Amino acid sequence: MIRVEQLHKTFQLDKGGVRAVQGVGFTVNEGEFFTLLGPSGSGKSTILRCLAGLEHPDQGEIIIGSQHVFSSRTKHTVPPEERPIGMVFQSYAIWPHMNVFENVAFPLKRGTKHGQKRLSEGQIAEAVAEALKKVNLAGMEYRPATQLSGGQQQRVALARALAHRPAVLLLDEPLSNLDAKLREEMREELRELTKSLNITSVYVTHDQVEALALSDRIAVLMEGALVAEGLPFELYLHPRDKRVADFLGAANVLEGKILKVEPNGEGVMQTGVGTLHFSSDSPAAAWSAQGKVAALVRPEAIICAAEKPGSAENIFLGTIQRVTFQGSVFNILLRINDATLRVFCDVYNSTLLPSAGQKVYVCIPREHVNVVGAS
Amino acid sequence: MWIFRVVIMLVAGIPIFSFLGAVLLYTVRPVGALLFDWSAITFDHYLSVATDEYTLGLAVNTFLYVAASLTVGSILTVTFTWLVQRSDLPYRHLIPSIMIIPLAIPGAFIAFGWVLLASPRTGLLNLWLRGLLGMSGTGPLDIYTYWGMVLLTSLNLVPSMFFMLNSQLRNMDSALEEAGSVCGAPVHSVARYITLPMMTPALAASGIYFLIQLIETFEIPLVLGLNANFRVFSTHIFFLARPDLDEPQYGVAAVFATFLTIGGLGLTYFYMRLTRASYKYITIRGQRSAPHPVRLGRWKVAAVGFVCLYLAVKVVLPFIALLWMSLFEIWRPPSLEALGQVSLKNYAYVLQDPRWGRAFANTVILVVTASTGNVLLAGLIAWAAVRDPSARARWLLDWLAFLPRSLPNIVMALAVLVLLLRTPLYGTIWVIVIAHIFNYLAYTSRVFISSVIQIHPELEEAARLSGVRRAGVLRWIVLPLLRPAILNAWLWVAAHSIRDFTYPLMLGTMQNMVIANLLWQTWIIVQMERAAAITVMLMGMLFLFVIPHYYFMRRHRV
Repeated sequence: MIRVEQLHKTFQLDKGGVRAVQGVGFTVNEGEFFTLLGPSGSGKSTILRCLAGLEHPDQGEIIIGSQHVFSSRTKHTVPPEERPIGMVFQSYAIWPHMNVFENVAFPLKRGTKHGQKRLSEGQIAEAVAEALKKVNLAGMEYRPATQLSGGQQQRVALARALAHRPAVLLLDEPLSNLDAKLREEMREELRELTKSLNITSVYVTHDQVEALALSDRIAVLMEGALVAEGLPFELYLHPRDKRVADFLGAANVLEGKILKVEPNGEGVMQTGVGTLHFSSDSPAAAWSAQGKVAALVRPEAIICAAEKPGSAENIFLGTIQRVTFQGSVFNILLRINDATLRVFCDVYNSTLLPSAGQKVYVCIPREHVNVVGAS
Repeated sequence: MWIFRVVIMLVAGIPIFSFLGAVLLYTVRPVGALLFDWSAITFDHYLSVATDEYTLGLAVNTFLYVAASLTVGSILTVTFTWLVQRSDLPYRHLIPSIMIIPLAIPGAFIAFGWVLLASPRTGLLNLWLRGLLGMSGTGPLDIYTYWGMVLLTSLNLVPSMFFMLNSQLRNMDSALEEAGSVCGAPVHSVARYITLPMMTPALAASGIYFLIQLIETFEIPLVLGLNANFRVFSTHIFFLARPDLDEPQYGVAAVFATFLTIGGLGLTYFYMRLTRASYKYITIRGQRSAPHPVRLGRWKVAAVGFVCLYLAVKVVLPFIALLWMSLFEIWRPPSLEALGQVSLKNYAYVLQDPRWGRAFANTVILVVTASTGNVLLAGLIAWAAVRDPSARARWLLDWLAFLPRSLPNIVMALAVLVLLLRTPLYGTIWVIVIAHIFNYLAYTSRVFISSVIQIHPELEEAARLSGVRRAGVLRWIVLPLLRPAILNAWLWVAAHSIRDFTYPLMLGTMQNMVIANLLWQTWIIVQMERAAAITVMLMGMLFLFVIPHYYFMRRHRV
């Protein structure tokens, strides 16, 4: 549905400094919910704006559906008003001089994206009512735009973007201005809506929880380059990059040396906490060749107990340095030998009542140890 | 986009630089030579200005006049601002609304009014004072003096300066001052080390802004300076370019205008630097707590008296004098018996004068076309100056729009005069229209820039993604959102255009005369009663623009 190849875009910021997108490429399948995830300044919004036609790439190819909307080879570009897309902006961009109906009707009345023929008043009213119903705003047609809450503005923006039935929906951090509770609600609604319409969506966010919850597929961007791409589940559990692991959630990074790798991927490495057994599904030979590697372990994957657990491998004794109670978990900072380890200990599934200075056992299940290069 | 950018720059830039160029060219043209006559170049004009003793006197006069007016005006304004923002003066929140009236009344009107009140021989106040004190002859008051000019000029300065300082002090977050108090600083230390340093760039900037305005002040030195035998640069340029009997001396006038331009550009440079720096000082917050007002105690009477005296001297007394004068065919001192002879004959006489019809029609054309043209140009410049992708282009447009502000009005007027003198435009109302369009560009482009900045770019992008072209975005999104700014700017230019004297007097002929010309012509042949009638009518027309403007500004908090 969408294909982006070798996209390059450099621009000077007003405050000085340069921001750049360097050779990014990806494809989005029809009906897929695709997320560009990255910290601020990673270039994710720039890529989205290039897709929309609001930004002119220095180089690259963009194909949407059957239309080649941008090509630096043939110096061809389709302006935003002719691309088959709808867009929801971070600021919502609800026109304050129009009411809800006029906002949603605008693309049908003044635009040409629904086709060349003019729609009758009745057709427009029908299309607007349908779009508002999709976003649960039926009956709000004549509310002035300035009297809407943040969540309602968000829904109007969505209805407006969908009014002309675009093939692709672009969303630029649409939930970032909502409060936490509403954001969660809207997240679920958005997922349901896009799936029921089977519309191809490209979503930009810096919030990893949002990306994991919403997406069919995620592309992680750092400093203008695509560093990882995959299913949410896969990216979270088996990150192939230290930065990606860190960005997608909390991660312990234990640097060390490979001692031994079996051909089936099982091996042992020396780290700050001690010798660590792991079983990797990556080509094991590559690890033994590398001198320095790092083990990535999610804090919630580590088991914490007052008594020594039954299993024999990857058991360590540590001293609690600090405990923070976070509701669902205790966030514990442990000192083991020369290293520190963060552990999330489930409040309900634990007999432990941790306190600073206490000595506890931890177990790191070998299947939850991710070994990556330590570059 | 770049075509639009270039067109805007040319439309704004070519006239402004032609004006400047024409003035510069005329400084080296021999007397009587045409603008593009390259046969002779002369430096006689520079030489005569440099060797004439009169030049030094003129510079000293201008300096004394500007410095004294700025000082007195600043003291009065700071007092007003402090009373409104930091004291418990009764009804202080009404003062900004009341200040609209003196703001709207131009310098020429109070000058005329005060001549009627305090001319040494027949001034109404003098008649009354002489009767009271048992004096005879002339005096005791004399408005035709240096101090008379300074007094009226500084009174005239107060309202606009008040609005500038008042909004700056109001926008200052009082939490910054409270933070100082919480640290244990006493009230005077907070004022000395926090409030004052934070206000310094704003104060200095407004000082420079009004310095330029004072240098170009024309009406008061014209009305009073003639009899006081006190010329400043602006009136001197006028008498050189538009003498009653002699040949006009454009060359010498252009030399003076060049000096004023250099001074104006220098001051503008400092102004722009200061206002840029001041962004980091003036912090605007949505929610501000009202600062605790200082109790005036027994000074309250004095403060109320100060406000009333100001309004009496600036508005009430001159208006009563003009109205009284206009209602008698033959002048009479104010008394109850005289009221029996009140008549509207002066008004009837003015209205029957064939010149009135022409002046009135020209004034209407001037006000409508100048305001509309100015708003169109300023709006396009502002939109380009905010939305242009290139920072350098944005800066250039901003600077271009502000440039007319650094040219004193009298210089712009001389420039338009010498540039268009031999063209078919000269003698038509359109020369004044063109001059006014460019003269008020600095203010209106600022109004539009601040409004366009408030339009989030995504509002325009959302329209394009709805399938609308650039022109449609302007038509359906930008224009409706700018409507309040458009109305505000239009009414502002109209109110200034109708009351301006500098351009009509410099560029006026019998054909393109406006009401200001008719008023001046009537005044100098000492038909005071009819001049008073014209003044009252002009004031009425002026308030047709000022009152809607005021209500509009209040409703939209522009």
